[in-house]
Amino acid sequence: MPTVNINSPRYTRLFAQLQTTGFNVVNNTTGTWTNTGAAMIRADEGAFTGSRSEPYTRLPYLTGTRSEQPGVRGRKSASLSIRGLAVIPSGTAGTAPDMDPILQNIFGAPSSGSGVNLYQFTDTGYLPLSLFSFQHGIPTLTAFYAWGAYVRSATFHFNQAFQSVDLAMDAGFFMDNQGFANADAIAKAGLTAFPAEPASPTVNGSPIAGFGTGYTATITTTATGFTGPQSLELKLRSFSVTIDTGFELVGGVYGSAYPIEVVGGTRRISCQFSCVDDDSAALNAIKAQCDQDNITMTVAIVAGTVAGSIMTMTLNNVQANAFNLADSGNMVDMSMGQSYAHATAIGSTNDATLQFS
Amino acid sequence: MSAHRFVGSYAKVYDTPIEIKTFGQLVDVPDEHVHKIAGLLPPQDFDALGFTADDLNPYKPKSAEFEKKRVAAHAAAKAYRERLMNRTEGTEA
Repeated sequence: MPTVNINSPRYTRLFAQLQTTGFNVVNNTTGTWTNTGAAMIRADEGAFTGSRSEPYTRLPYLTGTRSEQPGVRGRKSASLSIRGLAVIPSGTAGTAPDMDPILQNIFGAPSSGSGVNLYQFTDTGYLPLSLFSFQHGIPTLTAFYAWGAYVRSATFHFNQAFQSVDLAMDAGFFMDNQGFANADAIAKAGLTAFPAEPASPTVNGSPIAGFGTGYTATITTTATGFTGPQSLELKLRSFSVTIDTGFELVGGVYGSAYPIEVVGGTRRISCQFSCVDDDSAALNAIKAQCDQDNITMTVAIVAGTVAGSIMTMTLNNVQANAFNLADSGNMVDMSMGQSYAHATAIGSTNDATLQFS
Repeated sequence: MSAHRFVGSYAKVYDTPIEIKTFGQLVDVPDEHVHKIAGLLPPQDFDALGFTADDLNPYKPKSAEFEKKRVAAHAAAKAYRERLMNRTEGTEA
């Protein structure tokens, strides 16, 4: 038997949970983590990275020698990313997916709808996340939790092996089990004991294939002489939607080394795609749309065909960027550069929606 | 432990033998796990939806009528789970 346990990503279980009390408080009862609503997140090995920033500030005052004295600890914060996270609907239409805490964090509100889960942006929702990483069954290995996490950017990828999203997040801090006992109260985010790994977590639903018969990509164009829905699913080679949430952690204040809250800046949603170039009416309409000034279009992409496992993203008022052609082996690819969605009216927040059905 | 029919796509309760992959699958689930799984129905509620043998055959193509029944099953499963979760306190992940 080994005298030490070598850590492995295969031991990892990741959980996400919406914080209900405040930016820097992990859900707890008298200091013990309450894991109600914590959802197990199915990420690949190598997909999750987290880093803390708590650098030392040098004190290079003159001592008469060329050697320095120790510095003092500076500001503290954390950032995390999950690459290629499978977007997995629940499999039961109307029931939110396991990644619902992350989606609520992005959109600022729970999903709505009857028989569907429709995520829409709201400007008043600030729903911080806690993320937990446990090494299953080996509590002596290093586990950690991050608090006050907000998705800064989410990029949804289509036409890959399976539907996935890349997430970049900022967090107040993250705390590990080795240093927990000596950490200050803010770092612990309201906990007095390191969280225990949830027993028997449940996952629901299967990943959606990234492509397939019945999948649709429809752009409704408004270019003069080229108006109407244009179907691109049989030409599309790559398609991605990026949501830059505009969330920014507020830090650098006198009374705390840690971020203290979050503020919402401008939200920007964009899409970009490439197609096999041809002379079809649909693609000509897209090109005319890209060429004409100051018009907008609607983009709707649907992945999956089985009730309970269908994902639909809709982007409104998209201003199409210029298109370009490039040789691609025996074909020519047409690509539309990053093009931004907008709300349909002043006072609206309907730049984009995400629906599971 | 109680018997249920599954109307979702997949569910797994880690650290237990419970793994459900097939629409219509009859499965015994310990009471403490029932509310965690999306897509469970009591057998009598499932039977009331009128699925035929062909509907439940994973190798047969699905009709439009089956898809309507599936959507109804999902709504029933969601309502059932909400009733269970409202009765359960301090649930684990």
